[in-house]
Amino acid sequence: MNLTSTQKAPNPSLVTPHFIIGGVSIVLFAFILVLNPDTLLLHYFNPTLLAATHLLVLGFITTICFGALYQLIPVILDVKLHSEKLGWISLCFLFIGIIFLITAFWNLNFNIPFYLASTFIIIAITIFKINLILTAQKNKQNSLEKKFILTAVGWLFFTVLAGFLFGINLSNNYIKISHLELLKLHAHIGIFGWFIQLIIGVGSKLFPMFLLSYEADKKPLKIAYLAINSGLIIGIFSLFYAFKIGVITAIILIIFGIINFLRFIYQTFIQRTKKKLDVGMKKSIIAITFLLIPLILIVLNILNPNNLIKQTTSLELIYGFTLLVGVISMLIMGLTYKTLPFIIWLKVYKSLIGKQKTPLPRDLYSEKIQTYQLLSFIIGFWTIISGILFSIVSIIQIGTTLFFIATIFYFINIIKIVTHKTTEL
Amino acid sequence: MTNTTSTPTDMQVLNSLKSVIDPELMVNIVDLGMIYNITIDSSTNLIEVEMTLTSKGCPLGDVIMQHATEVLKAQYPNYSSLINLVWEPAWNPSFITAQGNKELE
Repeated sequence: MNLTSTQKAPNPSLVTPHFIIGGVSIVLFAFILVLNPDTLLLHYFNPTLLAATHLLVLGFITTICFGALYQLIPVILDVKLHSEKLGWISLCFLFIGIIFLITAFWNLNFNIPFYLASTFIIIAITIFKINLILTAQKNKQNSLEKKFILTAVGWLFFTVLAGFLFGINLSNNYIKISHLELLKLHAHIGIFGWFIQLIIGVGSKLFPMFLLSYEADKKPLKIAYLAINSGLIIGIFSLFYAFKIGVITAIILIIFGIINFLRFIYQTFIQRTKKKLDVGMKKSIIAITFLLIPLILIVLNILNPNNLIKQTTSLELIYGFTLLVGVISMLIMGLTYKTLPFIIWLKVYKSLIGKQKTPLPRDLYSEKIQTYQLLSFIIGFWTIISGILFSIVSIIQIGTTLFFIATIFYFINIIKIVTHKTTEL
Repeated sequence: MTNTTSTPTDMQVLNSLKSVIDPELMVNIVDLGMIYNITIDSSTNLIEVEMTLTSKGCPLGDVIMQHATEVLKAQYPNYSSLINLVWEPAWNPSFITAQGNKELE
């Protein structure tokens, strides 16, 4: 008899702390924005925004991605995680590293706290990477999902290492390139190399599975893989050698890759058998469509006819905010409802299935809270974008407050799920 | 209530399995087209069910199979049951019944 993914699932005690740390991090991130709305009108290289952004990308996005990958590896690669113990060790290093890093950025101190933070985070990611490679080796197929995930983790390692070197460069200037350019490079490798590629790798398996849509052609995904990775490599070299055409080529390749991913998602969506979407799926689909905003902004920035765009800083902030909050965070929030409840539900009810009537995974959280979360998130997000665009602090304040409320709703649902106890119907 | 003394028919077993719901899709496994074959051997009192999952990595596969086993055990206490998970032919949405499609809309 064949083994199912359920038998390969990790212990929920490894997965849940990742979601709790992630939930706390996004609430704190939103709270920092509520207290400092004007920070979104300053240049992005300011201590508050650097600390808040790293809290979001490492504390929320990366931590949840790690936890979710431990759960999704059996689903995607059809193998058991190599070591849960390594998962725990990696989380401990990551958590301590994040605390040091936020402290370092908050005080703009690139000495001991920064070195400690970087060391802890690099160790955490190295352990995670080794664990993932050893796990993936058990699966002999060279699937596209596997390629995306392993390459994404490779870029994560690269961008963290690059971030560390750029941080050192701030106190001992040894790289003869503007630190703002280096920061852009670090951010883009993180966003497109790690997050977006991970989303493509995981999404190309999960979206067809949840939507019951298996007819979409996978060729656009292959093109996306080649285009995004060649774009990133060309981009890095071009930036170091100040080769402008190379940078533009890299941008075009990355955009082309993402458009191909969107093509795949569109085909999957229109050919789906499951027409009715739950709130989690709605959130994920909306987040994916938001990807078009930063793409349009990049194109406008390259073309910029007659210097039409003058508010470069505002647009750069909108670009970054849309990618990190509107697309990646929203997608993770949506997919949380498609992952976390299942692993908890399996733990709580597996022995009772068929013997008595049990709640369903969706009964572990409040659908009403999830809907309020979606509404406050979307209204808050667009209000913040408008506030940045028109440089009005009071509008940003309203937006960040709504966004903060959305994160509280999200956190309440996470706690509801992870603390769920057996209930009989 | 199913007659527990006489030999159940394929149709009765199929109807019993309609109480097994895919927890993600909220449609029963029969209308999802996941049941491929049912064999009832009255000489050994064995019900053998050949079934598949909508996706090879389906995280709920084990639970669905366990649910099916428990349903058969409760409905046909004189019979033992064996659920065989198969991947050929690979499941695709055309296996869903009209009722299943209606419920997914």
